[in-house]
Amino acid sequence: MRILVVEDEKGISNFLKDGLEEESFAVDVAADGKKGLELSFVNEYDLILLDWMIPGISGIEVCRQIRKTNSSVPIIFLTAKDTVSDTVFGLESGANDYIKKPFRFEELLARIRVQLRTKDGEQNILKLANVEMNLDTHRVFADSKEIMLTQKEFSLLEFLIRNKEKVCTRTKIIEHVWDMHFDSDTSVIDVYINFLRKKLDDGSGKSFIQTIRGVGYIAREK
Amino acid sequence: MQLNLRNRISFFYLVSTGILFGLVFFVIYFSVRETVYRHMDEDLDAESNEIEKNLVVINDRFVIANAFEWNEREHGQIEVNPVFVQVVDTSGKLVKKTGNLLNGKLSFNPSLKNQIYFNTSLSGAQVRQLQLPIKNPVGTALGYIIVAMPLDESADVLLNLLIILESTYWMVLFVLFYVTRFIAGKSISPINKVISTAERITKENLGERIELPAHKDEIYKLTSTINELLNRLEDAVLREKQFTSDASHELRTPLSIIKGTLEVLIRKSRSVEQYESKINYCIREVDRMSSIVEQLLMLARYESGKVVPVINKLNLNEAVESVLTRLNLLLEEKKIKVNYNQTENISVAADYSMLGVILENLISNAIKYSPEEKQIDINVSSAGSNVVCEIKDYGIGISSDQVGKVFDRFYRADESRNSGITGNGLGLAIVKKLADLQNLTIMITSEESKGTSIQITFPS
Repeated sequence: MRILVVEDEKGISNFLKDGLEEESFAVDVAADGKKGLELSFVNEYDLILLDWMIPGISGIEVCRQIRKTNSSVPIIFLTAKDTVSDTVFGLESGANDYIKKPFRFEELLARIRVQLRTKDGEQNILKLANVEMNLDTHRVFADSKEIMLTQKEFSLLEFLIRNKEKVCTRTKIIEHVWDMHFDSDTSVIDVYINFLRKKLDDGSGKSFIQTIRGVGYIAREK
Repeated sequence: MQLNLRNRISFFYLVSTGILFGLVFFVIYFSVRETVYRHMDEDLDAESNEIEKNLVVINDRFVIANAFEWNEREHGQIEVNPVFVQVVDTSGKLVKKTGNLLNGKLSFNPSLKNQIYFNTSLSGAQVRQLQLPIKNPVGTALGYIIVAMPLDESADVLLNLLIILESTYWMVLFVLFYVTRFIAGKSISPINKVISTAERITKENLGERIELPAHKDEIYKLTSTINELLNRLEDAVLREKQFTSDASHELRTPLSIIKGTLEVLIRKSRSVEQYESKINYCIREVDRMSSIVEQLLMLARYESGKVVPVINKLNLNEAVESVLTRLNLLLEEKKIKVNYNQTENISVAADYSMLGVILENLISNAIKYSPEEKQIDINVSSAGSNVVCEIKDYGIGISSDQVGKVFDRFYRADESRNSGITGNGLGLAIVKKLADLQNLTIMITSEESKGTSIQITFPS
């Protein structure tokens, strides 16, 4: 899952990036509204964290611009403003949620998950074949046995299961699992897919992650 | 008694018109009465003249010469315009009277020595009477001619007039009271409109204004005055709101950073280096917060008016030098050269510590917003009786549309925000406040990416 953080305070964007990356999100940071808009148009994000008061184009304006393009990407406002009218104003401009600074990081995570869940209509527990993954606790089970995954493996698996029964192209995988600093060598995906297949192997010799040659991968019930 | 404005206006109007009408009616009544009496008096005169002509005065006696006159019809009867005549001697003893007097006797007042007209009564009826002394050539009164005419008719006329005037008077006042009440009510109704709108306006809808009346009258002036007052109030409230919002933003940001950084830090165990770097980072944020709090408190203290500047004559050069010494480390760090163009022994009237804060803020700003290895000019000169201290940098400057706002609390121009230079936007607000307290003028001129010049003018 790839998140765009639009925040001018370096201190805040720093810990957001660190914390979210540890939670297996790919995170891009924009320090002003203009840059934020640019990135949101160029890349496909699963969620945008938007500060209200940023230099250049304001957070509200960024939100409106994004919504104008018919994008339904979930947007959460981060702001120090806290009056009811501010909240209403923020939500009316197209934001999905609103979190007041200073916030608890855990609360932000929970809200991000709620947005991602409502987007897909899913629970925080994803299931496919013999695999069950809990997004809150970050634990993965195969045939009820806990499997230890790295962050990248976890986020790749999450992306594939969220898009189960759909072909995930290499580009899409790169866009949603890796951040913008990733160089475009997509062979790294194959490496991680192999890791996943090995760790989640049920002994049947056939993985639920299947290769679509020349296109990408698909996760489906066997 | 507490009357409302409407009733007070009608009351005062009523009293004044009441007095005026009373006067007019009084004049009318008395002039009519005077006219009536004058006419009667003329008749009485004519009659007495006739009688006098018939009197012959011989030495100390008088005799009535021609008795014919006494038998005229008007003296014989009492029905139509009778004229009663009676002649008495000085002691009041009757000498002669007309027949129509029958048994009656006209009253005689011996104390009235001269010709006099007065009202009296004759057998119960009102009469107007003339008493005229009969005098011998040396002026001694020998007797009196008393002529009387009935007053009933004239008295009736006067009484009627009085009744009419009086009843009209009260009626006019009565009608007038309601008319003025109505007019007063109508003319102050715009005020009620102003009141009801003004009552509606609270802190929440300060943007609302009272509708101006069509005519440019006093109400218009009152309304526009209230509206202007509201403008000023709204401005102040907005500024206060902006300040609160800015202050909360400025304080919440470092708090958010500290909280977030620490929360992410303890989510799992990390290396000692990571802990150290994050904790040091948080300490720097705490420092930033405490400097904001410190400066806010300083500003609040100065704004409360509790701190009174102690104005003394002091040496401006010494003040500048001591600030430069304090900032020496900063100057060396950025390799900035100060070009201090001092004038010998210039003394200014200022508070020593406040001036120090002003100079330190301005010079450190100049250093902060200058690129490395640039120079800063400080010029002290006396222009007429004023002393001017100019601090000029060749740094990032401020765009012309924002230069006016830099003294606002928490305001930071875009150039400054985007420069990556930390600041909280309070320094210049403090400078302005301190300058105002000491009657110093601060002028700022700036050009984007060329530099900024600040001039402090000290009053003589």
